[in-house]
Amino acid sequence: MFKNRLLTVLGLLVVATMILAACGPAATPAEPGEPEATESPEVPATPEPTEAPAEPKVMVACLAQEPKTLYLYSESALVKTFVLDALYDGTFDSRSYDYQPVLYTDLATFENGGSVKNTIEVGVGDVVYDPAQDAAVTLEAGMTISLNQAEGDPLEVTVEEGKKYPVVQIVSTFTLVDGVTWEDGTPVTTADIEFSYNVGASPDTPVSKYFYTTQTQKIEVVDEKTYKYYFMPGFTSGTYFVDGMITPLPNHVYGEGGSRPLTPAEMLNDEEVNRDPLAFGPFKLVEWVAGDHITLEKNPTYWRASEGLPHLDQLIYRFIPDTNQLIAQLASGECDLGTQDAAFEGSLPLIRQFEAEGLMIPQVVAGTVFEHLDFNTLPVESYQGAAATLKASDGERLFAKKEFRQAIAYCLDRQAIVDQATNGAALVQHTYTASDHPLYAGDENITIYEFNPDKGKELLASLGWTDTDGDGILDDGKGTKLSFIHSTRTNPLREKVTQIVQAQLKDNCGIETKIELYGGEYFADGPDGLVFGRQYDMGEFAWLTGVEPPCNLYITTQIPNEVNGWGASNNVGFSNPEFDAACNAALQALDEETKAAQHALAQKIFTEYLPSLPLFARAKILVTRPEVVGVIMDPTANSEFWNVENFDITR
Amino acid sequence: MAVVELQRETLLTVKEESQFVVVMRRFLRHRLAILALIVIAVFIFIAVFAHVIAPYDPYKQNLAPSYSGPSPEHILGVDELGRDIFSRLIYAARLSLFVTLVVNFTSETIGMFIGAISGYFRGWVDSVIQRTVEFMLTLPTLPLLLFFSSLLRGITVPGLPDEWSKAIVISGVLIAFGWMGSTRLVRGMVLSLREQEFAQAARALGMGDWGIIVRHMIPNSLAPVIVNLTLGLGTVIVLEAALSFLGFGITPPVPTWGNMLQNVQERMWQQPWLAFYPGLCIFLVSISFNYVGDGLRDALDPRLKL
Amino acid sequence: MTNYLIRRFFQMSLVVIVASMAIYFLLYLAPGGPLDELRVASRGGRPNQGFTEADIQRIAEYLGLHRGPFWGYIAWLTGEDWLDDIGRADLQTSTCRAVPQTCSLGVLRGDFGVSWQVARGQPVSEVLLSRLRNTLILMVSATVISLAVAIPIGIYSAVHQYSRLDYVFTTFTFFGTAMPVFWFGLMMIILFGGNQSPIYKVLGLPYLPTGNVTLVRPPLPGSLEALLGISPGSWQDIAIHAILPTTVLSLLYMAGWSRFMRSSMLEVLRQDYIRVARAKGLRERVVIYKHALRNALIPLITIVVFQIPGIFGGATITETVFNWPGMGFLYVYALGANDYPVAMAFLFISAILVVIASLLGDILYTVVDPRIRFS
Repeated sequence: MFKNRLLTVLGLLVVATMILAACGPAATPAEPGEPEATESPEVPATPEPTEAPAEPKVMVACLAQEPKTLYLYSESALVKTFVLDALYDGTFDSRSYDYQPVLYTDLATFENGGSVKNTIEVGVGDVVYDPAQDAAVTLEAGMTISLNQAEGDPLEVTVEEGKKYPVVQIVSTFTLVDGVTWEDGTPVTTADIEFSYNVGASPDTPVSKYFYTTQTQKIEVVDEKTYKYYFMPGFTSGTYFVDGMITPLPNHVYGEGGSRPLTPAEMLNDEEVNRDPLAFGPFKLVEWVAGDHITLEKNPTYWRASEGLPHLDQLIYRFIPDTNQLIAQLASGECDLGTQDAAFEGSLPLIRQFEAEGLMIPQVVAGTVFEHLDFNTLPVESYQGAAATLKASDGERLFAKKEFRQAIAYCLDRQAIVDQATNGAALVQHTYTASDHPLYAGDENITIYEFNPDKGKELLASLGWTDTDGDGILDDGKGTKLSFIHSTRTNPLREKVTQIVQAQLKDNCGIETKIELYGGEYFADGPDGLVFGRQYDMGEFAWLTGVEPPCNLYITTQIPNEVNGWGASNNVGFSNPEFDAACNAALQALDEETKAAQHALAQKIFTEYLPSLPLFARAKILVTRPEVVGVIMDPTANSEFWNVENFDITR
Repeated sequence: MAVVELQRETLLTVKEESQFVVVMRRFLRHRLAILALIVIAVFIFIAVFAHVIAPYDPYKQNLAPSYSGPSPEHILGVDELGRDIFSRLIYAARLSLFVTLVVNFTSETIGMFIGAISGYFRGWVDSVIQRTVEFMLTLPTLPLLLFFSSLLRGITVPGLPDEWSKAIVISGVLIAFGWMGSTRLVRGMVLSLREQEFAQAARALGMGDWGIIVRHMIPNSLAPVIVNLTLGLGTVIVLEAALSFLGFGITPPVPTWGNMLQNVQERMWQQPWLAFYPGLCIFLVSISFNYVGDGLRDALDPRLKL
Repeated sequence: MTNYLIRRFFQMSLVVIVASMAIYFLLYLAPGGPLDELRVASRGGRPNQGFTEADIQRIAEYLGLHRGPFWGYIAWLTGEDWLDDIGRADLQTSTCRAVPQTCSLGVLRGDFGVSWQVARGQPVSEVLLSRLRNTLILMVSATVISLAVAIPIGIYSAVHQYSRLDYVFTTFTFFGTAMPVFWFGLMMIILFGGNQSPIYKVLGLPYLPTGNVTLVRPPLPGSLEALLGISPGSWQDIAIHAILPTTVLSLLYMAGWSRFMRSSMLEVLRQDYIRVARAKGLRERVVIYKHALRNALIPLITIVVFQIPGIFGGATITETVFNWPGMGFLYVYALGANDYPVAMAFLFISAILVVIASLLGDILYTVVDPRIRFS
């Protein structure tokens, strides 16, 4: 009786699991028999594959992440760029700290006539750019505004009814290169550019509207191939020659009167828009198996197809989040390419070992992400930590003293940190700009803090901090130890850096740090936030910077506070009028000389006061198989797929 | 009546006293269990006297290159930051043993009692307890901890060093999420045990519900709890390290066996044995407790001849 | 019994509803939601070039985060299409207001909504289904294999307590729980996976794939798949890729389950009625399988029924180590990326499976021990 029941239950379980197991594989279109038949010529166990003359070239690029979407107007993630570089080929490349046109015939510089500086007259009711608010404003009678002039200084005016004021407006003209077509053969025209612009500007598209409302006045279609881009009157930018470049979207499909018209709101959730975008670049998408891989195929309508591009017939992006697994697949040849988003730093010795065996080749390049130690020079009033309570002998807050921050810099051997934490891959950096950047001020023009613990201790002694009780830790002679918290958002690299910094500060200078690791809440918006609520002692994180030196991270208006909603970037609380002036001038300068001079000045001031100690530029590491050719890692090209059309495999 | 009552009482007490001595004697005859007890004692000794035994300062970053292998100075080699692995292993015993023993013993005990109550009384008591267990099991640990992290981070035990106060918080969290397993195990056992003849007999003799639970239900459902506990010893050590990713684990550079295991991941290919050092410690501790459990159970079983 | 089941069903529904509400509030209130991420991401560019408060508000309306946790949960459960009927169109998402067909219908009507992050714009059900097959293959085979091995091992160890094999099994078990899963996984990969592995380089045997579910191009020479002439994407391809992860997972489950089997079997074998049965001269095999096994199953049932939510939920670390795109990895990824619709759907289904597993456990108790009754 009992046995029967048990057997029935067990039997049911077995049947159920078998059904489940059987259901699984059946869900894939396995096409039983068919592939076997087509593959059969290759099956015979001949070890050497018979050299077929036209064996398709398939490259497997392994990424650590899967893109969430391929829709242009969605978040700007690096992995998305990896794929879009192959589908769209980009509007321009930014290699070696410079810019190169791709989709357009040329950059729109003043020199080549692509852009012009017009002086226009504005009055009440006109919309102009207000540098004070960094926003576009409509002129009203009685308001005071500073208007940018084409030549010379900005003009401070109080607007009056009926009067007109001169202001500069930059207008760029862009022309599409010849022969660009969508993968379905329809030519890419300025209608696609306009459509794309309108979708981006639509309130239903949840992207930042800065480009549409602050930077841009309008775009104007000249003909099928050419359009004019009008900056907002008064808006100037150091990168004006590429700012107006727009990536097209297929108007003939999703636009009004297209084959499948969609509103911007519908596009956001449309499966095709997100997961199978129409390509005009070297490749087109054929399949996206969620969580596993994306398969691209050579696009026969690519405008450079006549040059024999792309070289590959198929490009497969495979997603492998685990670094060890990725390296295993590179070693055995399942992957041809491992991208920079994998955390290769920690595994560099292993990669070098495989390199010696001829299995893979790493490319290590210092990138534009720099890791830094921030000193909280201006803690919020409610903060009770060391940054607020430790005092110099003159009674001032220790963290607000530049000598203190300089002492920390002297006490740290940053090259040793790089060697130990990143296996020597990263590059020590002295300011917020990488040392090989063309706008770097130069070693002789800034203050460089070489490792010199004696100098560090001297500076600390001058602030009243020496080891009076002989316990190895500095104190102020009144029983307070020089001890503060070193906090960071946790990741394996930073876990190492914090520990090395801790050991170095203690051994070299007698400074005690306590390590605090946080999750994502580390960056939470103030007033509750830690870093951006200015409630920390010494913080560590990284800024991702672009081609331009990011001096604006440290200007006074960027100090997070109630007024700007805590949403600003100057978490160290650095405030220096000279620095602000130099930085603003550098960012808005239109001629290269002023720009370089002002950037250099800003860097000089920054390194003297050292509100934040740059540690190193993180390495971008790309690993390829030896048979892969044409893959070049560039320090400023965001993605290594910028020249994907030139990738090739030689067997 | 009274006489019978009295007789039973004396019988029980007499029997109980002698039983303890018998159990002890029987346990001491279980050689493997004794050996296991010695291993545990040695580990506790090492943990307590780590500062005397360890040849180096576990935080001192030596000049030896990262991951250089065993040498006369560093018998197990050094870790990624040039620290002596052997010394770190010894210091790690402190927090790791503390956390895993406290968490496992507490949560198994709590779970055992709740489970016994649930299974014995059945009815609405059982429903309430079991639905609570199910509710707890459905709650996602990760967001829950994230939600409480700022709160938990703020808790410090006055007078204790930072890492000990964190260890106590971690233990609390792991206990709060760890009692459901043994609850369900014991309940399942008790549901069946309470229907067996000896339980019926005890009830017929007028023994109270609580008496039956403590004297009969719990001792007889101990076996799976011991298994759960011994298996859990290793798990908790590894879990502790996982918590540090949420930001309130034990922060570096304090070593634990869990974070030592975690950190060798990048080195697995070249030196997979690095994982053995902490792994072997965890192995020895958990297998020793297993044999102590075996010994105890054998000793408690009056029918078994030893 | 029918009454009991009806009452139990109501209790189960209540648990699922309360749990899902708690989970929703938890996700909503935990620090670092999707909007926080946007705020962080927009720092560091040109001043104000990132998202303004107005932009963030617009994104909140697009995702439905402007509703707050209470209305958010209501909308998640019952859909948002009816909200304008009660005059609360402001609680709908902006896309729903603009295009009524895109309104979510709510979980009660089988609509888990649309993924925010993991696969933007894809229905959550499709996202889950895309991983379900992989997870079921891995988990079902690991569960079946380890049960099939763990029960005999447990019985053997109990019947032959303190025999040499029992010590071997015990040592193996505790080694299995002491070493982390990633270690076993990587050792498997290093020893058997890829053409750098010793089984290929030293022994010259065909090697196994290091990871993934399928090949994307023809197998490399020397691999087991090349030897068998297997084409990418076929079921044989999946089966061969499943060998290593299944082995690791099975070893793991086996280690624990065999211990439970052993200990409860030991317990039962000491009972009087087993002695009686033996004394009656019944054959040992009959004693063990007819009389002892049945009563020894209760702890194992308790443990194994909770494998049901586990089969759906996958094994995160094993999946990650072997790059096996399954549910466990998806869930952790979705949580990390703040993809609440995907995480909610996963947790909701898990919650349902937990209460079902619990019920199934109780039913199985009555099967193995008919004296247990629920009423």
